[in-house]
Amino acid sequence: MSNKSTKMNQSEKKDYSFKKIKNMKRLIYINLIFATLLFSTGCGKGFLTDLANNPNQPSQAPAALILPPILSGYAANVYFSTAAMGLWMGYYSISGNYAMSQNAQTYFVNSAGPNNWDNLYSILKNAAYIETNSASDPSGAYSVAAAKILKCWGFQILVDGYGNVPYSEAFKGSAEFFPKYDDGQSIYDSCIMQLDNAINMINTADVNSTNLGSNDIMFGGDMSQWAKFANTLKLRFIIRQSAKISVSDATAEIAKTASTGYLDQDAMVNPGYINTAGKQNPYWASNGVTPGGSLVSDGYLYLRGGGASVDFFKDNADPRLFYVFAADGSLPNTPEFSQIDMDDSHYHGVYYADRQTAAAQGTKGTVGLGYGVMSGYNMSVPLFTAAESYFLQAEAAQRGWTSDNAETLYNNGITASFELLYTTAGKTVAAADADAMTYYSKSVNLIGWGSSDDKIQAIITQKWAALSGINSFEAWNEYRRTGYPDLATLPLSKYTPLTTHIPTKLMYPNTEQANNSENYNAAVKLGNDPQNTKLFWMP
Amino acid sequence: MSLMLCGVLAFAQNHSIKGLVTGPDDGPIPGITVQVEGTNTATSTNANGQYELSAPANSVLIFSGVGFKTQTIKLGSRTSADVTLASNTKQLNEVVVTALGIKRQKKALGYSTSTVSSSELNVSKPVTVAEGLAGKVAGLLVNTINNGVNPGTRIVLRGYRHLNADNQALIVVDGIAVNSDFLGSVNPNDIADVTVLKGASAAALYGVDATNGVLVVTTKRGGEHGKPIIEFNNTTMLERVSYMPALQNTYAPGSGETGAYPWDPTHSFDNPYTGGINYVPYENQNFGMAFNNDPALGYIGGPQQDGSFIKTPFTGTNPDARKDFFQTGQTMQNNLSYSGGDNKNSYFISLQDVNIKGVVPKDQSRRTSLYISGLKTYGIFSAQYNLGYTQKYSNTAGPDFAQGRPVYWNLLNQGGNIPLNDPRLKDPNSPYYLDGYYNAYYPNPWWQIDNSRVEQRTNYFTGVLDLNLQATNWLGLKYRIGTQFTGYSNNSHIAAVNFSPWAVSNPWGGGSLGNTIGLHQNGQATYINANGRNIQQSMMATLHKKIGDFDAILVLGNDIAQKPYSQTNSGYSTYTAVSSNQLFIDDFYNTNYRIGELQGSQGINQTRLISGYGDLTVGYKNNLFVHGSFRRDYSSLLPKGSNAYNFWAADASWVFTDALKIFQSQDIISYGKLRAAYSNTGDITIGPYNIQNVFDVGAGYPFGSQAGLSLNSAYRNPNLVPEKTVEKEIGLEMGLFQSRISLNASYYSSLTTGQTFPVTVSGTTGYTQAFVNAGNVLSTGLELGINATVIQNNTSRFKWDVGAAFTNYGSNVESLYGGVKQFNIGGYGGNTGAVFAMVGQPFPVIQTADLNRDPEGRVIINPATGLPKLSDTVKNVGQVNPKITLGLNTSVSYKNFSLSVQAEYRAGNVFFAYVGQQLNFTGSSEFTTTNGRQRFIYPNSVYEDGNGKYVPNTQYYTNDGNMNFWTSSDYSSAGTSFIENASYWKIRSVTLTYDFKDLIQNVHWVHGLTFSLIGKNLLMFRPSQNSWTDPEFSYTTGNAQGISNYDQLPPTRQYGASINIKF
Repeated sequence: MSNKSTKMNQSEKKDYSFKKIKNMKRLIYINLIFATLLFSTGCGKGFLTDLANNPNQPSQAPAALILPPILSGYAANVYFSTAAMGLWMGYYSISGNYAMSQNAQTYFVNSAGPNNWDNLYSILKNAAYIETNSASDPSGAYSVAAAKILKCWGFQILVDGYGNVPYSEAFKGSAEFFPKYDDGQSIYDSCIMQLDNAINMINTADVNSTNLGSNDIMFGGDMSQWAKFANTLKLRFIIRQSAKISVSDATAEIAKTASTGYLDQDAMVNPGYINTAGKQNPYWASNGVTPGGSLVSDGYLYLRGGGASVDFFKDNADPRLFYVFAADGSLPNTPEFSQIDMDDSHYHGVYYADRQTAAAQGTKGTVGLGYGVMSGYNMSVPLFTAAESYFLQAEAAQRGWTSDNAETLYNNGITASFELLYTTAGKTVAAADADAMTYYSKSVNLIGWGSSDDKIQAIITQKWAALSGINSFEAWNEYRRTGYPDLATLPLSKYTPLTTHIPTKLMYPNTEQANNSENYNAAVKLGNDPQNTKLFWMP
Repeated sequence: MSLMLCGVLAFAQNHSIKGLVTGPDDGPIPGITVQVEGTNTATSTNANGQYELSAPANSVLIFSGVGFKTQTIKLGSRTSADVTLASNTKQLNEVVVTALGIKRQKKALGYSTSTVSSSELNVSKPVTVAEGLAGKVAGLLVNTINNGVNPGTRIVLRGYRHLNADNQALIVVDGIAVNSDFLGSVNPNDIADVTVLKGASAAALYGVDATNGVLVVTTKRGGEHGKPIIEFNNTTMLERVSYMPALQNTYAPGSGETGAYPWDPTHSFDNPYTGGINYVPYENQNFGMAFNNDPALGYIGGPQQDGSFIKTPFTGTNPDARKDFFQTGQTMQNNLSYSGGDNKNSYFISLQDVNIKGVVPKDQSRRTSLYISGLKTYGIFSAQYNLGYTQKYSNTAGPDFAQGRPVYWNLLNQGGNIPLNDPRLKDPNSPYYLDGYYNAYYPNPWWQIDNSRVEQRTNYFTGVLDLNLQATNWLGLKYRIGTQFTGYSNNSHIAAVNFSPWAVSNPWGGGSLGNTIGLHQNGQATYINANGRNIQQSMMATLHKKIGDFDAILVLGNDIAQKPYSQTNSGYSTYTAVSSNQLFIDDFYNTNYRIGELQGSQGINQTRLISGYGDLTVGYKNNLFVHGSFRRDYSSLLPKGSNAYNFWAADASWVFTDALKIFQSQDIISYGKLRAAYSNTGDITIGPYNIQNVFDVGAGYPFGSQAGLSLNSAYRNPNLVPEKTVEKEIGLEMGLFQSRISLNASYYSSLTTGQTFPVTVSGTTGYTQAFVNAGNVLSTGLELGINATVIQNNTSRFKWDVGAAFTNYGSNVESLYGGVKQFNIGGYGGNTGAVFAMVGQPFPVIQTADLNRDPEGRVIINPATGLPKLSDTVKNVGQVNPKITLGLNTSVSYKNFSLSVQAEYRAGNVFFAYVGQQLNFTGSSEFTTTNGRQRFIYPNSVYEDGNGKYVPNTQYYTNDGNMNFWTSSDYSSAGTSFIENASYWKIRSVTLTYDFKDLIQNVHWVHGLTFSLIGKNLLMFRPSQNSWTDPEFSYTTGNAQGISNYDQLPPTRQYGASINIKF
C-alpha cells in the first residue's frame, strides 16, 4: 500500500546519494573481499583438522619419561599396606589419641578397602603403553624391558592381593571396556615368561639402545641391576608357589636365568624428593613433617609400634629396634629422634586390637616410626630389598632348588637388613655388619641358623623382621604362604567378633561391581571371601 | 469494537472530525477505537481505516486497538487528524526475529517463541539482562545461584537434557554467539528485545548449538521518529540482608571441654542440663551452657597477654551481631543515551555506570560500558554496525588464612554473645584483632575482609558489522562479521599472618590459631589471566517469491566461525595462572617474591565450525505456513571423516481464524493458530582435544630436574559421534475478546540420545573414565502463557494487565551406559547430598543417606540409646529442578501512576541445605535448641518390639540432647535431615512509576520524565522447615543444582528509586 509520495521520496534520495552509493558499494566489496580472504586463508586445508592436536597436553611421550612416574608410583604404593597389613602383621598399632572403629580393631576387609586396585591399574597402563608403543623401536629395548619387569611387579601385587584379576584384556581402551578376569596362575606363568623375555632383551639389546640414564630413578641406568631385579622378582614368583610347584619345575625355571644373578643391593627409588608439598618421600609426607615444618596431623601421632615387632626386637636385644621405631615422646622433627635405651619406658609395643588407653600412653604415646625407616623428606624408598633377595635365595637353596649355601644367604639377608636401616639413619655399613654378626651368631631359635629347628621358619621369620617398616604387604604374602611368623611371635587379635584370623585375600573393589559387573560376578563366584578364599598358591 | 461504541452525543459547539488511521506499513487499519478523552464519545474506523466523529474544539482523541500502541492526539483547532499507529509488541501480526536473525511473521511460526521487549526487561531496572528475564517467559528458568556484588546466574530453557554437558541456552547477540556471562556484563538498557527460541525446533538453524534453545538478543539501533533523543536514568537501590539461617542466641560457646580455666579457677560452669560441658569462651562450637545474663561470666575468649579481657553480660547479642555484621549495600546505575534517526538511518550511543557496594563490608563492584550502534541506508544498500565495550571490576572478601573458609562461614559460627561490632575486634592494632582473637579455630571475620581479597577484572568488546543489499524485490543479500573479545584477570591474595610467641604458646590451653599456625605464615597470591575471542562470518541470501496464493521465502547461508564450545568458553581462549602460598614479604603480593616452587598452569582452547544451511517457508493464503530448515556443520571437535553432521527441522502453522469463515462472524475468538514442529538436531558436547589420549605430568613431577609423564585417567574416544535430539512440539495460540486475552500453549517432548559423557569405567581398562556415546534423556513440558487486559477504561485512564507464564516440566533418564544405573554429577559424597542421573528418574535427583524407617516412614530408634540409625544405602530424595514454575506479572495504571508487580512460584523440587548440616554440627543453628539441649524423645519415632512390630516411641529418650546428638549421632550424618522442600513464592519486583507528562507537556525540550519506586525480592514465602536459605542458591553454575552451602551469602532485598528523563 505504498503511496505516491513515498515513491517520490525514494527516487529523490536515490539521485541525491548516487555517488555515495557507488562509494558504499566499493566499500562493501572491499569489505567482502577482505573478509573472504581472512577466512579463505583459514578455510583452506586444515581449518578444522589443525585443531585435532591438543596444544595443552602431549599425545605422545618418550618411554624414558613415562618410566619415572611408574617407579615413583610403585614407591608410594609400597606404603599403601601400612595401615592395614602393617597392623595385621604386628608392625603397628593405632595410638590412643584416636577412636578405633571396630573395623580397625579386627581383620576387617570389605570392598571399600584395603584397596590399591585402581592405583595399580592406573600405574600399569603406563607400563603397558611403553610395552605396546615402543616394541618396534630397537633403541627403546631398555625401556621396553624395564616396562615389562615393572608390569610383572604390579601384576604380582594384584594377584597376591586379589587372586584372579583382569590381565589379558586390560588396557585396551574402547576395544574392551569390560575386561575379563584371568586366572591368577596363568598371570603368574605369563609374568615368569615376560621376565625371561625382559632379561633376554637386556642381555641382547642393540648397542645403540638408549641408556635410561637419570630417568631410571631406581638403578641410574645400570641395566645389569635391572636384569638382577627381574631375576629376583622371578624367584619371588616361583617361591610364592612353593606349596604347589614341583621341585623339578622350580629347579628348571630357576636354572634358565641363574647366570643373571640376584639383587645384591637394595632397589631404591628416588625421583629427587624435595621439601615441597606433594614432592616429599611419600612415607615422610604422610607420617613425618610438612614442608612448613609442622608435624603431619594424624600422621606420626596416629601409628604406634606394634607389640609383635617391638617385642621380637626387644626380646632378642636386636638393635634394629632403634631404627625401625622411635622412643616414647620423640618426634620426627627432632634430628635422629630415635633413642638407644631398650627399656620398657622408652619402647613399649602394643599388640593389635589391644591398644593403649590415652592414660597409659604417657605424654606423647608409645613407639612410633624410627629414623631407619623414616629419616627425612628426601629418603629413598626401598622397593625391593637386598635382604629379601637373600632370604629368597636362601629358601631356594634350602628347598634344594639351587646348590647355593643357604646359611650364608640367610646371614647375608640379616646383614642386608641391618645395612639398610643403619645407612638410612646415617650410620656406617661397618657398624651394621658388626651388629648383624653379633645378632645372627646368637644361639637362639629363629635367629642363629644352626640353632633354628625349622630353617624355612627361620628364613621367613627373619624376612618378617627385615620387612618391618619396609613392606608390610610382602610380609602378609609370606605369612599366608608359610604361616610364619607363628602365633608365638604374632598372636592373633584378642578382639575378633567379626573376623577370626588374618585375611587370606582382599575383596574386589565396589567400583568393579558397578562398572564391570558381569566379569566381576563371574570372578566372585570363584571366591571373594577375605577370610576363607585361598589364592592358588596358598597351601 | 462495539463494546466501546456509545451513543454519539452532539452538541452545538462540536465539530465533525475526520481522519485516516494507518499502521506502521502505511496500510489503513479498520476497527480502531477513536474516543474523545474524558467523554463517552467514541467511534471506530471503517474497513478503509477512516473515521468520523463529533468533538469539541481543543479536545484530545485517543486511538486504541488490539495490536497497536494507544496514541493520543491534541486536536487544537483541527477538524481532521490522520494518525499512524505504532505496532504493539504483543501484536499478532508482528514480525519476529527467528534463528540467525531471520525475520518472519509471528503467525507463520510453527514453534514456540517469546519476545521480551526492552520495556518489559527493564521495568524494575535490573543490573543484568538475566535478572530482567527471570519469571517472564514460560519454559525459561533463570536461577540466581548466589548473592553478592557479582552474582552468578544460570539460564536454562525447557529443562535439562544433557547429563554431563552444559544445559544452558545459547546466547546470540546480533547474530554472534557469545558466552553466557555476557548477559551479566551487557547494559540491559542497550537491549531492544530478547527473543527466546525455546526449543530445538525453533533453534535448529543454529546446528550443533540448537538443542538447548537460544536467546536471540537484539541491541538497540536508535530512534524511529526522526528526532534526536537524550535519555538519562538514575536508579539507586539499597540492599539489606533479608534473612539469615535461623541462628540460636541462647547457648554459649563450648564443645565438651571440662575443668576450670587457669585464669579463673572459680569458674568451671558445669552445664546444668547435661553436666560436664562448660562455657568455653574461645570455642568455635556453640554447645556451651545457657546464657544467663550474668555479667561476671561474660568474658569473651581468654585473657590477653596483658591480662585484659573483653567482658559483656553473659547473653546473646541483640540485635544479632552476626546479622549486624552486614552493612546496607548500595547499587547505583547511571545511564545516558543519545539516539536519533528513522527507520533508514539511525544512531544510538549509550554510556552506563553501575556501582555496587555489597552487604559484606568492603565488597564492591563496578561496571562501565559504552555502546554505539548505527544504521545507514543508501538506496538498496544498508549497513548496520554496533560496537560495545564493557569493563567490570569486583573486589570481594576471599578465604581465611587458616582453613580457607569464606567469611560468611566464619561469621555464622561466632557465638551468639560475641559483640562483633566491638571496635577492639575491628582494630588491626588491637590484640583482639588477630593475635588474641577470642575464637581458637575460626579467624576474625574483620581480619578476613581486611586481608583476604579477590579482585576480578573483565573487559568485553563486541563488534558487529552487518551489510545488506536488496538487489531486487525478490533477492536480498547479507554479509555479517562479528566478534567478541573477553579479557579476564583474577588477582587474589591472603595476607601473611604473624602471631606473638605468647599466642603460639597456646595460652588458654585449649588450642588457638596462633598455636596451629605458628609465629608466621607466609602470604599467598594467585594471579589468573584468561582471554577469549569468538569471531563469526555469515553470508546469507534471502529469496522471496509470490505465485498466486503461495508466498515462498528461501534463505540460503554459510557460516564460518570460531565459536564458543560451551557457554563459558570462547572459540579461541588462552589462560595462565600462577600462585604461591610462600610469599616472603608481608603485604607484598607478587609471586616472584616467594620461596619454594611457583604453582601455575596455562592452556589454549580453540574450536572452529563451518556450516551451510537453507531455510524455506511457504505460505498459502497467508493463513497456512509450512517451514523447513536444513543445516550441515563441519566441526573441529571430532576427527576428520566423522566431523560433518546434518540437522533439520520442519514445522507448520495454521491460522484457522483466517482460514475458516465460521470464525469471521463471531466476536469471541479473534485469533487462533495451531502449530506443530518436529526437529532432529544434535550437539557435540565434548570440549576441544577430547579425541586423543594425552599425557599428564606425573604425580609430584617435576622433582627438581627429573621429569615424568603419565597417561591421563580419562580415556578419549576417537569414535565419538554427536548426540541426537528429536523434539516434537505442538501448540495453540489464541486471542479472545478482541485479543484482550491472549493465550499461548505448547507441549513438547524432546529425546536426547547417545550423549557424549565420560562414564566411569573399570579401572582395569587403565582409565577411570571414558568418553562414550550413551545416555538417553526424555524431557517433556507444558508451557502456558496468558496475557489479559482485565480492565481498560480510557475514560478514567485505568488499565489493568495480567500476564502469567506457567510451565510444567517433566524429565526421565531412560538409560545410561550399559548396565550403569546411575551417574554422579556433583555434590557432596558419602552420606551427605550428591546429585545423580538415575535411570527411570527425573534428571537430576539428589541421593543421600536416610535413617532406618519402618514401612510407614517413621524413624526407628534403638531403645537402648533412643537414637536412630543410619541406613546402609543412600536413597533418592527428589528432583532438584522445579516441576512447576509460575511467573506472574501484573501492571495497573491509573492516570499517571502505574504499578507493576512480578512474582514467581516454583514447586516440586528439593534442595540440600549443607549449611544446615554444618550449623547443626557447630551448634549455631536455632534448630539445635529445639529441645533445650536436653534428652528428648525422637519425634515420630518407633522401636521394634522384638516381634518384628514397630511400636510408637513414647518412652525412650535420646541418650543425649546436646553436642553428642547434634554432632555425632546418626541423625547428624543423615543427609535427609537437611533435605528441604525447595518450593517458594517470590515477589521479585514491585515498581511504582509516576509519569510527569502533565507537568512537562508545555516544556517542549523535555520529552519524558518518570519517577519510580522499586523494590526487589521484597518477600519470599517458603515452607517453614526451610529455615536455611534461598533454595535457588547453588554451590555451582553447573548441572548439579540443588545444593547450597556457606559459599553463598544470605538472601537480600533491595529497595530504591529511579528517575528517567528524556530530552
